[in-house]
Amino acid sequence: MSYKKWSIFFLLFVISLLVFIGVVNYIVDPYDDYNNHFVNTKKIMGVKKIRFIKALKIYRIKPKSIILGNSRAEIGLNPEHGYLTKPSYNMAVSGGSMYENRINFEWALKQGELQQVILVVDYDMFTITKQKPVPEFEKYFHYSYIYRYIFSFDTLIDSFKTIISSTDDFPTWSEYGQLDGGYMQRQLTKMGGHHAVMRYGPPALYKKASIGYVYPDTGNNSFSDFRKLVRLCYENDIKLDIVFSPSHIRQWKIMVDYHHVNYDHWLQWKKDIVLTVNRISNHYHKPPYRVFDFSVYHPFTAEKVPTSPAKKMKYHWENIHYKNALGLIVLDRLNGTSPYKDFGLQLTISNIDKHLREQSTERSIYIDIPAYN
Amino acid sequence: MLFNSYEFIFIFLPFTFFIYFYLNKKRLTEAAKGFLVAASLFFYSWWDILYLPLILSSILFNYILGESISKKSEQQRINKKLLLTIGIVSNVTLLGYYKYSDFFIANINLVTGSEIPLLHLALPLAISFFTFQQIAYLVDSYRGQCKEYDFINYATFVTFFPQLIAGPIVHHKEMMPQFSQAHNMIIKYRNISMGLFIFSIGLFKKVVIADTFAVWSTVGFDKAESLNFIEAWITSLSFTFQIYFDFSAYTDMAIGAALLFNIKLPINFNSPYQATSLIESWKRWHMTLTRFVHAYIFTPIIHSFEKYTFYKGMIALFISMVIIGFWHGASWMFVIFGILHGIGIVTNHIWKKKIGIKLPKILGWFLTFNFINFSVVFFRAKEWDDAIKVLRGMFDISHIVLPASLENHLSCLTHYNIAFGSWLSSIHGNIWTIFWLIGGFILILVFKNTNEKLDNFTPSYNNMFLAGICLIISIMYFDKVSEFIYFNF
Repeated sequence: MSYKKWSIFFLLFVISLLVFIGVVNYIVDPYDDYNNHFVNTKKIMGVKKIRFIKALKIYRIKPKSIILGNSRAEIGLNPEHGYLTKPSYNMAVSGGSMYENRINFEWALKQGELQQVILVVDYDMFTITKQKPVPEFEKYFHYSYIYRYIFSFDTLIDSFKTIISSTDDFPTWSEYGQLDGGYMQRQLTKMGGHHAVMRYGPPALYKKASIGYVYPDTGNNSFSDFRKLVRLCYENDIKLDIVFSPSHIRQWKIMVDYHHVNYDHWLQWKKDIVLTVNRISNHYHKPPYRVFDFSVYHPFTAEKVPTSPAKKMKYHWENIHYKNALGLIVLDRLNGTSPYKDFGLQLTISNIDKHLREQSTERSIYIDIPAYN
Repeated sequence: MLFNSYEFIFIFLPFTFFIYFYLNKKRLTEAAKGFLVAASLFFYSWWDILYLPLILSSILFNYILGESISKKSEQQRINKKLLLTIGIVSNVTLLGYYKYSDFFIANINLVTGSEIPLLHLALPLAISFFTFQQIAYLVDSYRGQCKEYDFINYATFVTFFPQLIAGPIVHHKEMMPQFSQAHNMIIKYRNISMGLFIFSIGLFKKVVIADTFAVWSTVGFDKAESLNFIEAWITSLSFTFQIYFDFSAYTDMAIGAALLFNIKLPINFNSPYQATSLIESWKRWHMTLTRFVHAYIFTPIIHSFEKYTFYKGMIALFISMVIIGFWHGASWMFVIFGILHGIGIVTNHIWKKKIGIKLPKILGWFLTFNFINFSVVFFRAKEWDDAIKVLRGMFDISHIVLPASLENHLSCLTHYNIAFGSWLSSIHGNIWTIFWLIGGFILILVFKNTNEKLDNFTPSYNNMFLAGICLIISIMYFDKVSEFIYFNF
């Protein structure tokens, strides 16, 4: 064999095999990167690249309204609710920090159509151990990134999984970014029902959460991301609602066991949010954005936890995550169409202290009730 | 730009190759060299264009200085020496400023209690490599060993992209003539096939082998809070393999990419982990660095002594090894690594010269390999505590954990304080980790290294499929991008 023949055959061999792999991955499109639906329309492997997929969807949909937050908002809030200007998208991501949410917001803003944002804040977003769970997160916002996986070994494996797997094995998302509750229910059943799951409490990573609004891995301040997001909303005439998600009240009971912080720190965080929004609004000489607190003691959040694995709760999956039914009530309340006026209080600098005192009192009432232990 | 990236493999390399040879074919040889310099600077600037002015000024400064030194006659020896001193001091200062400022400030603060703020300078890519190459050029200009070359030749020698970022540390005498030879300006399929072969093997070593070992070493060194006996050994062995496969892979790819342009780079690794003594090991590991340190640090120290003696030679050797350690980075960990190797290599020489008992080869290999395996713990650890964590685990025989599945068969071992349970969980390992380590040993001890494979290369379907599969698998792993360890130095 001559050197010339070797070189030519080598290149032909490599190129033809790579083209074959690329074509398989492109046609099956396991992460919905290329919008191909030739094979198995359920892109069940999307769970592995969900942050990137959501960024891509924003690019394609160019939504007028988005929901930001972490898994609570991702599971609980339906972006197709009438309160959201269409097209809308739930861009909340599991384990998302304020940094990620701020970058996601800027990406949505860059698409040029954004008018409305619901920012569902969670204490964990400000104290989470990693500022960004994916090191190359910022690269997601370059369209060329979709070709990064085209020859990938993992993508090839996922292409085969997409073809052969049942959808029950993996979480799936609605077309508009909300995590499917069916997957949550299957996981809950596997783990022994609501009561069994609630006994686990929050994940162990919460124990490493920081205090002082910094991301422990970088030392960067999470409140600066929050401030920047609010400022950008004012500067771009975006309608912003800031929402404290509902949780089951057991979450506030066990919080002290899992965080470095105590309940007072958590209440102070709410106050800091309200004060910050007020300060920024003064700077822009505009009314403060609405801040709604749904993380309150209320019959919805104090729903009884069934001990029987077969029984389903109406509003909650476990301590942290709430169901679509409760999410709809939250969105109705924001929309001004909810019959439950006592659920969700709009916070201002005038009522924040009183509200927080009341919550402390409520906690002391509920904390020793055996049904919630 | 990384060798293990789509942009390099599919765009930069083919584009540069075709334009370079097209210009040469049109007999625009100077333009071809100019294009190669421009392409190399583009390759360099891909990370951060802010570094571009730095490398350009460094090249210009050293070229002008080298030319001035060369043109001085022997009668102007004082002037020559002054210019050389200025050149060396400037290069070392530049390197010191970017690489070591914060290290010195932090230590001054520690010793004196002062609070001088750190500069937090980003380390310009490849500065350690291009600084060393240019110091060698200046010294040889002083010694009258440099022929005169034009600026474009000099710039090609320094910036040639295959070796720019992490070596091999090339010498102007072996590089600059190659860029001028007419027969190197035409496409040679022999070099192309050999280049593609060694590049593909190198890429596989990096992307598949080194990056796999990197997972366990990274978790073991940086994330695990404590390590049991087996985990600690796997952590250190994983890094020992990782650094070899990572760095030798880079060299393979550099040699391969250079061969496409008919340029032969010096070999940098010759199966170092097969060495049966530390002296031999350093003759096989990062050979171009050893060559540089010998010629431009060890020899001048020797010459500075009035009379050479064996022990003075050992002092020079020890100093050289500490400098090698410190060259790798601004940390006491690298200094400790250098001191350990200085002590080790001096001991090796004393043993050889004064005691003279030749150890059996297997014992020699065992001692050498383990010495390296222990010393790289300091090389890899970011902090003293991390190094101690790994070393403590390696010596803590009271903390041996075996897989829970063996408990029924080996329950008698519990009498010897051996536990059963999560045996590799702290480093995210499993039974495959053991197979990978065994595979690593087989590769370093039994297989021919890539230089030997290249020497014996004859085109065949077997080596074509081998290289092709290596390249394809490597490209399929590109979505897990990682940089080369030596980019940090």
